[in-house]
Amino acid sequence: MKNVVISLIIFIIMITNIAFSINYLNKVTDDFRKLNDEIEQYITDNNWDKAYKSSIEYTEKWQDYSEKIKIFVDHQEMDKIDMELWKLTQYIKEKTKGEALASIHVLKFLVEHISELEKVNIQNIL
Amino acid sequence: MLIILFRSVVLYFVVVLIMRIMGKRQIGQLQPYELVIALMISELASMPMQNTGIPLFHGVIPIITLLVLQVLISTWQLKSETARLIFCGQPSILIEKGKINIKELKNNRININDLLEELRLKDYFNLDDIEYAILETRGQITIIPKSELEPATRKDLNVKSSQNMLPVTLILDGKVNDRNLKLIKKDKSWLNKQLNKNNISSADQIFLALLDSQGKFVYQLKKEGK
Repeated sequence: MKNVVISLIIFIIMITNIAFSINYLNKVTDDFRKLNDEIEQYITDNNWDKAYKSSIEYTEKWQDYSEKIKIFVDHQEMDKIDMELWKLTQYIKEKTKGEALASIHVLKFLVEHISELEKVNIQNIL
Repeated sequence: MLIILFRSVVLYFVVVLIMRIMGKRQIGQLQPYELVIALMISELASMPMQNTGIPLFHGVIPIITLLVLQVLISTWQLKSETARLIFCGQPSILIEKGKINIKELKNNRININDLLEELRLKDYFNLDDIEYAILETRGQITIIPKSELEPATRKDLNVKSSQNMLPVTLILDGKVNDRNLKLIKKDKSWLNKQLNKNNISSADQIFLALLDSQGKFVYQLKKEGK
């Protein structure tokens, strides 16, 4: 009976941790979604200074968050975002509108994708 | 993470179901072809369990294929001697008429210490007590001792004894097993009479009650177990 209780407690702790981390992940992706839209708007408006500032802020924020998220998200997915982010800052710096817009679009998809991967649905389970 | 949790649950039940279909033999001693299947299934199930990039079906499809193969092979073996020879091999006789068959030992890569160890484990300490030792296809060694050294049976000693019956459990953890009662052609009133005889008011107090192999009503109360 003692073992049953212990294993149930471990399971409950695990489930609550999972719930918290998914909640955290959703918060982070929401944050980045807003930033993505913001940068995209700056680029379309040719507001390069603000876009650059935002992209640097994005990078810093990402490095801060990613340390925590890496505990439970696939590292490959995280690396993809990292690489795209490195490109984006340079595109904005060089004011290449086409590349910058494409890059921010890819980032949108990737950020969406990491939260999508954790959603409980039939496609993910099977 | 929740995905991994659900995947583990699904795969666990799939593998349990598959093992049940494969039958009781899969759990105990394995024939070579069964061992291969068990190893493969464990590997196949664990891969998609942790890697969410792999669809679950990529694990389940080979598992089901292996199940079908196992069922087909074991049914084929029931019917055909050649199939049995191919998939299970033949038992090898390691000791024949009291003499060690050195060639068979070499063929099976069993050294003499292994053989002696197996014999000791089976409580034979002298090599010359043994008439036959057979290495079965499942890897165990069966021993037939010289007939004068075989343990005496009741028949040898001419001791009369009645045939033992199958013990039947009647009450488990306070619950009366009606099916077993029917099996021994008794009813609840008979059971109640037995309980009254032992000064027990109801079946709830009993942890285990059974009719043992001599046909005697044996029981243990819940409070006796602590």
